[in-house]
Amino acid sequence: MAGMNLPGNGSGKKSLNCELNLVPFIDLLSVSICFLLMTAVWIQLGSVPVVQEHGTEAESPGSEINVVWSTPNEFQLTLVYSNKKRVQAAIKGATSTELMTQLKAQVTDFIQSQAPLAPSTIVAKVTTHPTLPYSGLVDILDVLRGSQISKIGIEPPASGGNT
Amino acid sequence: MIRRSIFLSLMLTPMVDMFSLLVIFLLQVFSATPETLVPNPSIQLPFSASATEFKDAPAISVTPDAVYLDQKLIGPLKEIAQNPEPLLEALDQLRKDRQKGGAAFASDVQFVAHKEIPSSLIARIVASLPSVHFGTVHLMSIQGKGGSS
Repeated sequence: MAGMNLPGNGSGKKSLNCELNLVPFIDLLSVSICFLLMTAVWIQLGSVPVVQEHGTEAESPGSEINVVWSTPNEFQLTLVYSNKKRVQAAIKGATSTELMTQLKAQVTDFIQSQAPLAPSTIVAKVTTHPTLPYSGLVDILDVLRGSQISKIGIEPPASGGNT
Repeated sequence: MIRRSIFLSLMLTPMVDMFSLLVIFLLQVFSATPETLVPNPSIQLPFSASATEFKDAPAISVTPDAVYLDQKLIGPLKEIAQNPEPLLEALDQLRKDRQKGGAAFASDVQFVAHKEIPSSLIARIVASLPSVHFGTVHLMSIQGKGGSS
C-alpha cells in the first residue's frame, strides 16, 4: 500500500513521494472483471405483446386492419374505416423487406386518414401463410407496433395449413 | 563463460489502464435484474425492433420438435398444434394453482419459439390461449434489427 519515503539524512524536509503498490490493485481489477464478465448481459431480450381478441376484453373496434400474408411475395390488406367502409389492397414485393416497406406505407396512410383517432384505438389482425416462418410474423408485428398500433391479434390460416 | 541474464520488465501502468477501461465497459453492460427466461439451446429467437421489456410470466417454449411449459414437456409440436388440449390443461392447472395461493392472476404468458417454425403452427397455439384466460401473449424476441425473413 501507499507508503512514505522519508529521507534519512536528517535534513528536516519530508518527501511527499508516495509509492503506490499496484499489485493488489491489479488483483482487485482482475476479480472485478471476472465477476462482471460472468454477469454481463450480451443479448437484450424483449417481448412483443399480442392481445388476442377472442375471450378477452377487446371489443369490436371502430377501425380495423387485417393483414393476410397470402403468398411469400404478397399481402392482402383489408382496411376497415371508422365509417365501416372497407377497402382491400394487394401489396406485392420481390423481397420481404420490400413487402414490409410497402405495408408500413399503407398502414401509415390509413392511420393518417383516421385522424383524430389515435392509432392505439385501431385493432389489427394478422394471418400468415402456413409455410412462412415465425420470424416473418414478428416482422409484420414490428411494422404494426412501429405505427403505434398496440391491439394486435394473430389468427391461424383459415384452411388450417399444413407444415 | 558469459551468462546472459534475461530480464523482462512488465509495464504495469498501461495494464492498469486497460483493466480500468474493461471494468468501466463491463459495468455499463451489467444488469442487476436477473434474466427470468431460461434459454433453450434449440431455440433461436427472431429479431424485433419494437420489442419491449418483458415481465415474469409462465413461459411456453416451442422448439422445432416439441412444446414445453415452464421447461416441462407437453408434447410433440405437430400434435399440440393440431390438438392443443394438453397445453391448455397444463395452463389451466397452472392458473388454478396460482389462484389458490391468493395471488392476483395475470393473464400474461411468455411465448418463446424458434424463428424458423411455420407461423401457422404458432398462430394455432396462440389463438387457443384465450380459452384458458391467457389473453396477453408476449412473443419473446431479441431486441434489434435483423434480416430474419
